Amino acid sequence: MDAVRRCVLGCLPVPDVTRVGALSAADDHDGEDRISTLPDELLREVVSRLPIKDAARTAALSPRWRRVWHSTALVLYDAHLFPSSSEDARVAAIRRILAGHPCPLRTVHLVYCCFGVHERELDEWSRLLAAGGVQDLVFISQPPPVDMPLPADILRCTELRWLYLGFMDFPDTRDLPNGAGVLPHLREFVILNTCIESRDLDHMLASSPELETLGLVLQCFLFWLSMAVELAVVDAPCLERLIMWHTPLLGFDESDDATLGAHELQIEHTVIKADTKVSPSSMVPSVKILALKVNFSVSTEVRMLASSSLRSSGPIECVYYHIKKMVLHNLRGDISEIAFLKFITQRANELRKLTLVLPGEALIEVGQDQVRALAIPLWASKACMVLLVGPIVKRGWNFHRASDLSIYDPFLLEHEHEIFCLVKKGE
Amino acid sequence: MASPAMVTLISSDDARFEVTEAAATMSQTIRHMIEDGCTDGGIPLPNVPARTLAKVLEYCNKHAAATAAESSAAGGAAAGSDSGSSSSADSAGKDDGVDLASFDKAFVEVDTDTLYDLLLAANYLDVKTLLDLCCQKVADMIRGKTPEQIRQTFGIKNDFSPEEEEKIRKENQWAFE
Repeated sequence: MDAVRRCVLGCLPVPDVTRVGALSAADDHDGEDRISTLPDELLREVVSRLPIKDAARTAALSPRWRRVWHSTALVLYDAHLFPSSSEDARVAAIRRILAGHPCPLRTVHLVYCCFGVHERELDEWSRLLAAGGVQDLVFISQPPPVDMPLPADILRCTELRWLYLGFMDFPDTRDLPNGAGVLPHLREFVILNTCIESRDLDHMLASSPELETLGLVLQCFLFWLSMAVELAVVDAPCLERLIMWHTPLLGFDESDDATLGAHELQIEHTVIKADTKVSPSSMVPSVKILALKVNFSVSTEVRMLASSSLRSSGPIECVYYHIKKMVLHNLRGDISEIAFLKFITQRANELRKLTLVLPGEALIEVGQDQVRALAIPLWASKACMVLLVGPIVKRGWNFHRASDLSIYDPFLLEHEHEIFCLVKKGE
Repeated sequence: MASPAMVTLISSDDARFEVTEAAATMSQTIRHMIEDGCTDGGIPLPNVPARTLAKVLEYCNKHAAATAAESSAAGGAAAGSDSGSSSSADSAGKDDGVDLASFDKAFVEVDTDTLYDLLLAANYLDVKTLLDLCCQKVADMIRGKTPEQIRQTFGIKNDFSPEEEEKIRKENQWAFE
């Protein structure tokens, strides 16, 4: 469970407000009180950059500052409530803050709440958040249970821009209003180990015309591959990045790998960068980057990847016409990997660069053998550079980079060194 | 290559500053004035004294130059990846980021009066990143302090009665633990 939770927490956005960083000394000031002459809007900007306890304490400075605090859009990270005597004390503080703060509740990230024992609070807070116009919401339940029912009130938060849900069970949307007016501003929707029916995902996509990033981080591989097919028919005009990520299986810690034999939970990433114009009938049309995380040691997964994800409607238009660059991380020399790569190289006629990343020096020979094996059959592409590279110095690829739309190519990597490079010419 | 477009800014105390349009338009206020064609004979900024304007322009020059360098590096990276050569533009961009971060950090190491002047100027001129930087600096000066220490730091007069203050502390007891 810890491994899953760590994985989930690793996908969360970086907080805008932190408690780390240089503190200034309490030097005495004997001049006039110039800070209180600044306009309210500037003082609110300052207070909104403080961790919640520091922000609330400014209310005790003077009546002016008290008014400022009450009119500052709330920024609440429950991580900033530590150290606190107990879970109950934290929950009481959150309830007091959400119920008592009169102004917009702008950012609320709750990551440490055991909603299993605070179900009433979950209901109450969802109502408060909807009423308070929350824009940036992270709701991660602390298991158990791993599928805390999410109150449908969350879907009434019409001001939402960013929504991250973890260890929840997504509400049934059948009786809820549908259409572009439901979540008109939602740009990023990421579910982490959260059960969602495909009709409810359809509902979310249909209700979020501005959606740019959709992240599905789920435990069940079969489930999310079937989801990829479901997504194919959905209209999401602004969607630029679709990220599917596979967390470790429930109940198996990473340390259990050795005992699991062929089904070990080492995680390899397949990164497929497709061009913009994927066939509208086969994929979400505007998606430019599709990131998948696959375990190649489990052959069924590879077959499924080949058959359902890339061949979602007859000819694999995406592979045939649009893949230009492909990076395979953590190459281990398995037969299934070769099979997958051949599948790609024999079909992708726009492929210009294939990068194979070895996990360590020890596998150099394996990697070279693989590249040679790949070189034998005909390639679809007229000219493709094949690069075999050493271990990545810095992990170029993680969830944050993948979901950050300001990064032009999140898969641009820094490698220790190039081991092998060849240009393969097709027919 | 053509020399970059320049504009003249005039501070409240009539000092004139000649800067590139790229640096000046980091200010949305100035950008709108330029778009409206109000640039003949210089752009008057009646709310910003020369001393503060010089400091703001130091910030804008640095950031405008970094942005220009970054966009040319990004162009290089795209070209590099197309031709298949592994480009180091990404890491070069990161170095600039580190450089800019240390510039920013040093930039707001100023006395509180200068910091307030910068805040007001950044707000009036609408330079978002500078406003963020200054607000964050003030927040860092508040963070981790008791109300009494904050009052000392900024010279804030406590006009609560002791009873009122006690009541507010009780209301927000969780914030004082």
